[in-house]
Amino acid sequence: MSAYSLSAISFVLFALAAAGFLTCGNLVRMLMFLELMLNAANIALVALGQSAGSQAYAIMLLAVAAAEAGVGLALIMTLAASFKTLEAENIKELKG
Amino acid sequence: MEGNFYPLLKWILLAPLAGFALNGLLGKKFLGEKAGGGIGALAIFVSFVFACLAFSDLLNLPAEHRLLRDILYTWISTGTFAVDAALRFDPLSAVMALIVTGVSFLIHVYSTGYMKGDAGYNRYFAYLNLFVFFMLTLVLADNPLLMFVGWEGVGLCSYLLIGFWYEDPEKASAGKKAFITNRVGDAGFLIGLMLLMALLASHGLPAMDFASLEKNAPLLSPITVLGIGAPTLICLLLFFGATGKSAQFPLYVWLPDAMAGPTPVSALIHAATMVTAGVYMLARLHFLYELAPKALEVVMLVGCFTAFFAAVIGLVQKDIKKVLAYSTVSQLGYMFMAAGAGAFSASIFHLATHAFFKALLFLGAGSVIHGMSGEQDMLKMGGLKKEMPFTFLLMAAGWLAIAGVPGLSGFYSKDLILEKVFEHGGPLVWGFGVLTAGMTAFYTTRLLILTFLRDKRGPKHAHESPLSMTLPMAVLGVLALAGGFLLKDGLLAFLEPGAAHGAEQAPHAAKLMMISVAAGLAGIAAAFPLTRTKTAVFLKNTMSHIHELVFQKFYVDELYGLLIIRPLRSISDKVLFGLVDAGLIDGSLVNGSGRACSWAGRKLSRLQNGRLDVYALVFAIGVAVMLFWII
Repeated sequence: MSAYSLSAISFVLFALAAAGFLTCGNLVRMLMFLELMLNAANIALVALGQSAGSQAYAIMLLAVAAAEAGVGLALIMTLAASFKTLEAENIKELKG
Repeated sequence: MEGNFYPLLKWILLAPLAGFALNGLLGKKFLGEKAGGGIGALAIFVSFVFACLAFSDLLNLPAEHRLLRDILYTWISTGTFAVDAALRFDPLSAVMALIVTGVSFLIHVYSTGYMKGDAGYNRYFAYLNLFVFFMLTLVLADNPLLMFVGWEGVGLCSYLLIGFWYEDPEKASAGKKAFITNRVGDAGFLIGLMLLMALLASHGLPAMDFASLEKNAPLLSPITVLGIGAPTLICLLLFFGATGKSAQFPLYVWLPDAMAGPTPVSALIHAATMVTAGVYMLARLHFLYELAPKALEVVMLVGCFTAFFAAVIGLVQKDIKKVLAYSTVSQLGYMFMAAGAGAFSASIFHLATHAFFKALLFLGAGSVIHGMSGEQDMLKMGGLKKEMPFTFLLMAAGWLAIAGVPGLSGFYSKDLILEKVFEHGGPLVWGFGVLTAGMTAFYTTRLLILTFLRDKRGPKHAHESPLSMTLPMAVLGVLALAGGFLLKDGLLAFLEPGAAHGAEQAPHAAKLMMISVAAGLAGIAAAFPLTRTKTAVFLKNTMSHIHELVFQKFYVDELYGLLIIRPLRSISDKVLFGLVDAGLIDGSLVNGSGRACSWAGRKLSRLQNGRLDVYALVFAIGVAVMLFWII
């Protein structure tokens, strides 16, 4: 596969994930779309990175994504416990 | 730079400044009355001694090269334009510096007695020392800019001292009146000065010291500004400044009100020194005025009119200090008349003799007021000859001097002025001058009769003043009697070494002198019968309209109030306060910006609605816009 089609996949994936992130209201889904966006970035890194160093970064990014998913899920668990809901539009504690 | 460098000059200035700092900073708490008054008088004495030293060194120089200079520092330096804070001690400044420091010293000594027990004793001496400092700055300055600093400084001190008893609203407002009237004149002075600077700078001659100005001034003559020759316009503007400071028509109105200050202040600032600043300025810039004969004519006519007008008002005043105030305005008119006739030395001569006898008369009036515990109405005095013999004798000396009795100081200077005015101004101006001389003799005689002679009219008992007050008066008395005789040749030769004096007496001079002396004696003679109570009441009743008009000072104050002050007030109140200040600045700018902020805050706070999905949307749009902008 050429770098061109790889980066095309990455852009399409990012756009879809961003659209999904913006349209759905469920926190767990939003986290999943977030992970997808991260993966799209990962693909772009592999596709456009010319050296081995940038390929290695993709591996590191996977580890970071795993940690981030863990932290995110933990936060959502706590939010769900205190607000009894997973819909983002019902959680308005940030309102000024 | 020509002129000998003479570093002692700065000490003439610094001594009063030190006195001001000591009295002003340490004041009542640390110095008290004795030390405060002592320091005040000592500072002026030191200054006087330095002035005398510089004077004697000046005399040792050859007559054509009498000039001492002292440069303190470079004051302004902007590219091609540079002004030094430099002092200049030539015959004219020497005469002025000696008069200022000498008379000031006497009046400081007098003040230690007069102000005894006043709550603001140290403040008084601080102001007085500051005044002398600024007056010396004005007199010794080597360029018109530094002169302007002194010019403004003496105005400030005058304001502070007129309103010295600021608890009394009338006195405080007299101070304000003096200050504001002076500002009107100062505006003219400043515009004239800037015009002079701008025109010279446009010729590539930015040097502002008096020597360079004298050299470069003729270059201005071909230039016209607004259809008037540049020298004429500049001279008229500067003269407008002088009418403010030296109380000439139309800006003389502040001086009679300035009598609200302590009497020694009236003697020093409003008779002997500050009000003569305008005359000094004219004499200092005589080279400029000589280029503008039209301006000189205006100066002479204004001086003549003021002299006559003020003397008429002085005829019927009741307040002893008001009489002297109008007399001062009138005598200053004489000085301007002389300057306008081109006889600058004669005007400085009259300035000197006037400083002596008018300071003496004021100090005498102060002594009377002190003795009568604050009474100023002459109609309530009378018969004080027995109770205050010294004051009476000294006042009589001042009276004879100002009335122009032959042999005394007023005679020589006034006679010289009238002679010059006859030569340059013609018989009409001279006639008014002689008439004024007669009236001067009349009102001073009236003052003396009402105060000291005849029967006692008031219930108050008077007492003679202490030695600290009579002694300075005695010195001034000697100067008033003999000053004219001693100075008449020496001073003029000193001021104008080139010109010959006395030798070429005009053939008509003797006749003119006889007439003016006769006018003076007639004034004295007329005063005795006319001031009898019966005659005075009869005259007042038969000419009640004229008396009322003159007694109310021709309603000039009321006229100014109606024409200038009232419209200004209503403009200030309605337009400037109501519309600009309250409407535009307070309403639109201050409150408006506050209201706009809180309105914007209320509107913008709706954006922060706490919904994560909306935030995410806004964030995404932001990123998209930024990407679009970058790519």
